[in-house]
Amino acid sequence: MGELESKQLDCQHLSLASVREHLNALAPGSEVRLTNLPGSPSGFGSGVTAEAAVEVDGHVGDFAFLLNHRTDWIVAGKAGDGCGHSMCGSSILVRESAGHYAGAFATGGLLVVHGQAGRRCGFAMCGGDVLVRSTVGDEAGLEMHDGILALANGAGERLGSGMRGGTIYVRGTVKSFVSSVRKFRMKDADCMRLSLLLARAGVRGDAKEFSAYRFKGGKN
Amino acid sequence: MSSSRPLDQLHLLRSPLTARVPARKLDISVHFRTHASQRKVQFAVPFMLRSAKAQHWDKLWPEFCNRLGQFGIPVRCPASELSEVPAASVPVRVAVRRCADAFQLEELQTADLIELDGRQTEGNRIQWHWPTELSRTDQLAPLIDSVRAAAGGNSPVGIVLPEAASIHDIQAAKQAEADFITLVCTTSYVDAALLWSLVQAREICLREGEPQLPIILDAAVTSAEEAVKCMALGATVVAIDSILAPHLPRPESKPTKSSHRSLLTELGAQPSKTDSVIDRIVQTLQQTIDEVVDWHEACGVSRAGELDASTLRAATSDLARLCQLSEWPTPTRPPTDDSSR
Repeated sequence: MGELESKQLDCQHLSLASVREHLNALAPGSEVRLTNLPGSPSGFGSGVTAEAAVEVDGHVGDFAFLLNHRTDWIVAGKAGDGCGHSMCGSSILVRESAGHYAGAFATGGLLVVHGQAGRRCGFAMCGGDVLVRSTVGDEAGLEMHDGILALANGAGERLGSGMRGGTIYVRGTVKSFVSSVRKFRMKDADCMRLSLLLARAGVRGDAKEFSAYRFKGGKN
Repeated sequence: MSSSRPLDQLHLLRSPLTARVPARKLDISVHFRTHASQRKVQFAVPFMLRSAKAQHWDKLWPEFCNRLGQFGIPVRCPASELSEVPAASVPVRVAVRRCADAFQLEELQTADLIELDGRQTEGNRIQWHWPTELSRTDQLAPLIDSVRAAAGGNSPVGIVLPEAASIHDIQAAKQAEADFITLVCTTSYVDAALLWSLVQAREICLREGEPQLPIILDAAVTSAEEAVKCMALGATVVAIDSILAPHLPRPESKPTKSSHRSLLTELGAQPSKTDSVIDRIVQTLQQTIDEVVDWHEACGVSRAGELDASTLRAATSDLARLCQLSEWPTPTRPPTDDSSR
């Protein structure tokens, strides 16, 4: 996900629906930078079906990129709550922080947050990959069923609460994790998966510095 | 026992002096609009089927869907339930997203209406809450916006609320610009709590400047007359599952593997039996629609949505108070004389 150059769309006088229409009219493989986005628009990016790479020069509000499946997004600023909710393909990169429930219900695709993420990051994930480079709030991986949640700077309380599947990789301190989750040593397969994810997300790091947390059975 | 049911204590009044609208000019269709676009979703009749499952119908399912489509009756089911139905026979479909599930792209993009349902079943208990991913109730609006956009922008998105929903819950749904509200009653009859919520919901819509906001009533309504009473109290669309229930295939009657063969043999020998299921349902639907049209005509209204509480009289003072609450101005009708109450 390198820096994008080429077409620029000034969104100052455009409604969200108009921005969506512009993006959906893009040819496959296009690259575009959106500037002067008014405020932090909620629901931004939902309904965009273009096979394009879009860089957003600003912040986005709550429930941005819901059900994203074809578009690769880079957000230069922050994202609100529920960023990448139910995403099923392609990628979302947030250069600053994301709110609560980042990547909730994801079934595919990749969400990368370079800054912090709020509570319940990766909530009810059923697939896909979520990576947070800075800290996350409590209850990361809550009710997770599948997929990979990678936390590169520790985790808060009750990591993996209600978790039934998938893997959480954590580098750093975990404040607490529930009894139904067990900490595993990184195996070669884990290292390979995580290294690929780190490389894909453009995050430097050695997969061996992480630990794996998985559901081991029993009640939470 | 039946007399203790609230709907039995409400009586529809015929309006002998009002100029009757000929039945052929009556329009009982209802429209759903989105806050985001001008597109309308039309139901030809103010009914909906909310719990039909293809597996209960087996080979009759496509034909059943075809008949629902002909009557203009929408069905609430996942897209996968209609995968075997020919495109021309697919009725209007209402998709539902339960709060514990991910949104599915195909579900949203192929739906005519979308419901966000806050029900969560834990064992035998049903718990209601707002979608879990909301940190604050005011995030309901961006979630609805986002869902609407992801679905293509043209599908109305509504909120499902329980019969015991508080005024604040109803208000929150309205203020989040839900395109419709669904009230669900899980008891075996329409109870007072549901009627109260229905009246409150319509009051709030009126207060907030959107008196025609559709309200779907998912309850055990067992006759056309009950349906019309609910419409007079504020419902726009009424679930007819209970009206059709005696004719619908039941889950427990699904044949086992061994008995399936004998059933097929039987069907082969007597093809009229399978047809009669559909025939009975068609007959019941036609009869119900005719009765609803008759009641509209008798009450002196020409369109669905014009019925109001002035067409009802209550047998008890409690219910009378409930009915008075539900009165709202209807421009096409002269005010009724309150002294007659």
